[in-house]
Amino acid sequence: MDSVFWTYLKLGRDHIADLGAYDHMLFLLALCAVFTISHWRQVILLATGFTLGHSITLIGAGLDIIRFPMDVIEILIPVTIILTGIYNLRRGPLEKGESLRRNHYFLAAGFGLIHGMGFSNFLRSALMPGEESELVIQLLAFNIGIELGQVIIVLVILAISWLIVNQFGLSKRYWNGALSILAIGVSLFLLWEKIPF
Amino acid sequence: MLWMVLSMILSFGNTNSLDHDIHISKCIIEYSESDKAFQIMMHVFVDDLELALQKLDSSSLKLNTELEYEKADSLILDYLDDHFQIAINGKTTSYNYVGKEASEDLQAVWIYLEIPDLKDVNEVNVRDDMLTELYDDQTNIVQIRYKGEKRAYFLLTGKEPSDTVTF
Repeated sequence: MDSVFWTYLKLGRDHIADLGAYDHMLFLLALCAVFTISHWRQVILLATGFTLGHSITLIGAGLDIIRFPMDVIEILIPVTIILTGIYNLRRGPLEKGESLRRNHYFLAAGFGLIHGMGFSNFLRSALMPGEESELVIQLLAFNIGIELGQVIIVLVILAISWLIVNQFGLSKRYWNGALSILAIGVSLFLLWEKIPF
Repeated sequence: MLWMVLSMILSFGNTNSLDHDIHISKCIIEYSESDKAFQIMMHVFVDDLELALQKLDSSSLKLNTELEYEKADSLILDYLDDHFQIAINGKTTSYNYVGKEASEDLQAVWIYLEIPDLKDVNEVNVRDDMLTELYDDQTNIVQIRYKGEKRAYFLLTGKEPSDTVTF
């Protein structure tokens, strides 16, 4: 048995870290491809930007201020991944000590808005009728759950990058290229499945 | 290396749903003080329910439409018998089928059940593994409302399909 808080926290955490539906994870992978563990400060900043973005649309939809058509979001999400991947390839990995590029804020926060639309449709289907007075706590718990999932995913990505780049000595440029091409490739596949013709 | 990861992810995707199809059902079990009964309402997505029922009877179901299959209600009850059980104070308790209706957005069905003649409910156990045979990530949220403000939530999945609350 769970409390309302724990229930929605678990739903949020498991939603973003769902291996069967990994589009949000793929975005985080694309977002983190240009970083190594030495950029952890920048990554925290970036993750905060993403959180800011998806919280805005999630809360907006949760309070029923806005609604988003599911089929449009499912096309937009892979597009956010592809654009992030292309940006990675064009600009290359971050240098040691380099601070965040201005476009990174846009990628994280702006595309966060779009991923938040996806989260909100999921949350809506998990809300119980007659519990509107609990909405704030449900939204907060779900958002914290997403945060937790997000932190875990980012840490795993950075750990793998550390292993590949710092331990196995693969050049950062190649590693960024490999991750970005992977993210773009899978997203093209997702897009192919979503486009209605 | 890249191809390994790529083919891993792609083959992974084939066995699961690639997109975020929402695999959630909701069930509210509310104690009615005036009727001394549990009133149960269950929200299930209609396309998933049809898919599950078609394994029992391959007729075209057309739930939520005027052309609905005549045996749809009894099929639903059969399916619930297998996938939704309630035990009160340790004893499995049968429920009555009250009816069903389309959800506001027509994407789901509300199923209504009732357990009458209850007194002194101390413990409720729910087993709800509906649709988990179809989807690995199916989550069934059960909320129990007992005596006023109290709320208990169960998040039930194929791996952990049952949970208990004591009052």
